[in-house]
Amino acid sequence: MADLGYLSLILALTISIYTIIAFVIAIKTGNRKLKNSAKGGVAAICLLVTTASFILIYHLVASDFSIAYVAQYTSTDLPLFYKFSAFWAGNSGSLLLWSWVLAIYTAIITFSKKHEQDGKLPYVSAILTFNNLFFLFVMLFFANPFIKSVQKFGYVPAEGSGLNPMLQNPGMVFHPLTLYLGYVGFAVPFAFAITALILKKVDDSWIKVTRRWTVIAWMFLSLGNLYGAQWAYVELGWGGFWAWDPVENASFIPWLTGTAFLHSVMIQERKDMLKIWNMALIIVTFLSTIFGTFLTRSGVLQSVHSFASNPGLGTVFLIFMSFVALVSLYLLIDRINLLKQGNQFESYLSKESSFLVNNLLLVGAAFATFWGTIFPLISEAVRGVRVTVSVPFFNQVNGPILLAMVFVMGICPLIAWQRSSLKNLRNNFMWPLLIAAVIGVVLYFYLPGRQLYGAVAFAVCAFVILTIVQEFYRGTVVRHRMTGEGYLTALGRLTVRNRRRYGGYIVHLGIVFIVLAVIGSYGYKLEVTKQVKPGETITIGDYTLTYNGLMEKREGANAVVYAEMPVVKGGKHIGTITPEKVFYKNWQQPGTEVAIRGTLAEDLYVILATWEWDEKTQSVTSATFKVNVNPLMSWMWIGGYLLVLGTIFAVWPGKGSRLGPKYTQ
Amino acid sequence: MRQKVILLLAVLLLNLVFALPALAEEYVVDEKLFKEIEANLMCTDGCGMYLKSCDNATAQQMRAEIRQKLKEGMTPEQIYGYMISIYGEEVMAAPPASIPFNIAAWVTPFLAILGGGLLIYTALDKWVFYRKTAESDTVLIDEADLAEYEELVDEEIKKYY
Repeated sequence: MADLGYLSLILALTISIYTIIAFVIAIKTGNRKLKNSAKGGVAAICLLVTTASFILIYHLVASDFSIAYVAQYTSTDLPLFYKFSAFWAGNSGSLLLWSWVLAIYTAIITFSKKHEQDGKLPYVSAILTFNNLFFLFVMLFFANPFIKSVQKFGYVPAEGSGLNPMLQNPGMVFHPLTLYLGYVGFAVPFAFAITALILKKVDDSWIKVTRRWTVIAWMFLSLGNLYGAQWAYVELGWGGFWAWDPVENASFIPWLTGTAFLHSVMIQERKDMLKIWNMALIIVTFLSTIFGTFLTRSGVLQSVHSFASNPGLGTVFLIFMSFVALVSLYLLIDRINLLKQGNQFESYLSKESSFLVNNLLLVGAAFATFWGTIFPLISEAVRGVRVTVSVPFFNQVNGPILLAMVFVMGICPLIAWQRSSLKNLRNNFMWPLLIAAVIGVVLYFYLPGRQLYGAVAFAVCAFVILTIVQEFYRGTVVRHRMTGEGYLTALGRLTVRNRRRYGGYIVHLGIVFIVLAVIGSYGYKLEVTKQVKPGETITIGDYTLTYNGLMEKREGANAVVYAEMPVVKGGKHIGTITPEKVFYKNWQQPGTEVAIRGTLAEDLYVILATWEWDEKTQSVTSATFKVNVNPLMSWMWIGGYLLVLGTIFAVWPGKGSRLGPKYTQ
Repeated sequence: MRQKVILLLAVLLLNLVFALPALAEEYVVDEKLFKEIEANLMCTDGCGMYLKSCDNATAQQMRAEIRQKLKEGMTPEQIYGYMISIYGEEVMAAPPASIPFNIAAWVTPFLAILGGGLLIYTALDKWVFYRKTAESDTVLIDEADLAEYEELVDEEIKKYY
């Protein structure tokens, strides 16, 4: 079976080459038969990569350790769910997943009736197939998922190494999958943009056609990042959710530039402007998705997320990235006259100009993240000294930029298109600003530590929430006044009939909730690390936890050491919390299972760090616990779901989703 | 004379008794300071983790070292210097701004944003062609009103034409 998988990949690579050539000749000669044949090629690639993927899944589920990948990432006692997810746990498997998703996306685009008539399809399909050709090449020559154990290890192991216990978490199952759906999704608008440049048809049609692809790719990228954060929070046991690791940064950069792109295309739709900027943004977004993949595989930067480094693989990725960047740049410069502005702004104070500020901050944050990520390499090249750029740098540099971005998020939607006036600003912003300022002052005095930065950040969030609520309220009132509908009906119809607009507001609300969680958990976290003997207590904030000794149990092949700790809050018993350490059969390092008691206000987060063993009495004398109180953490996940809900609401097919900024000359 | 000496000794003893808790306090590590130092360092065993987040043996040893140095009365800067002398500059979680080249790391993002801001301002200055008549009599319709009006007009047009 594995040979069939390998053969499928070889055939897919060969057919990819044929498909690209056939598309190019069909474009040159207008040969319909050849074009149809190339389309058949796209279908064949999709079928072959799907076959290869199913074969790998079959081997993983069947625990066939004659395949090196299966032996490296699974074991017989691994639950079926994780055997399946081991598909993307390693380098070659994750490349196959990338190729599979790309092949499916390419087939959907190629056989879509919508794109049949406009002549762009052969170009788009050829670009996407070329992209997939690269991944197939990498798999076949650098990271073959079907390589035999005999070839790799010299023998067939009787048992597999098992999946890293830290990856045995639902968050880690969905994190790579959603991230890849997002990464690969951005290849579609990129292919359409390059096609527009090649064909010299640089109006906004490529943006309109790919809007749904872009928005959905963005949603998956957001989800991917959130699942990653959730996994880090519940599985890594350090009390945080984002460590500004190079690989985390690499998935944050396309999110930032993709967000900037989603906003700036509205100006092109409305004013026929920023064409060069939008082209540049989608090129940068696509390149940064490849950059992320390059980082995880090249070993060029130290990261906790890296696959085993392979310098050869890194070089190939670098060549591919350089090639794509050069070709894109050439096309952009060559077509620059066509991309010149078609319209003009009417005022300094308008939605258009506020979008420029929003783009500046988003791209500025993306640049700061990129700069910080590669600065160790620059330092090494210039000074010969490698430095580390981690949490303190990114918090201090990106913190203010992202907070300013949140503030602009409150302003942008409420400023009128074309030209705003002072009256308009006063009407829209006076009350939200006043109330937010009062909230900020109250929180400054009420919250512990009297932190100015924290109070300002909360006030900014309050301002954005108030402007969003005000938009829903005013829209409902206007509709009620004009149609006589009841308020609830008016609210429902208002939002459903303007899904793009109100979906966007829901997404903004989700983002603000996430930001609230970030501020709460970074600025107002309580932390205690304490060594306790049985009967002793740990007090943190309003909570008191009692340690009654450690216990042991078996869960399948694993041994679990745990503590059952009654929790008292404000003198009232609120439950028992059970932090664990798990000792795996197939893994040297024990895993930490964090115990979390979450409410909307805060999470009580308990880690069993270590314990002291007395050889004489053969018993545990004391244990050390790390206990955190992380305020507002639940809002991160609520915000994430709201973000997904808002995105789906905005792109759901129908009239309401098409209503967007109207083009005005 | 003897009485004076006894009195002096008594005063000294009394001072010592009152000073003892203060002396003892000098040896208690300031947890806030410890956490601040911990938050500025990396674990050095190649795990790539921020010291504050890492729980492996090297991280534990580094924490013990920080506590020891704090007990010895070292300032945070002295501790950072000590750590750099052992593990190299890489031990710092952010490039120390005391080294001139590292200032580039901190300043460049803000300079880039400033440059971008100036570029936007220049572009706006070029693009805004109505700026002299910005306060003209044109009626400005609120966004929410406008969206509703547009939709109702669309519906009416569909109904009657």
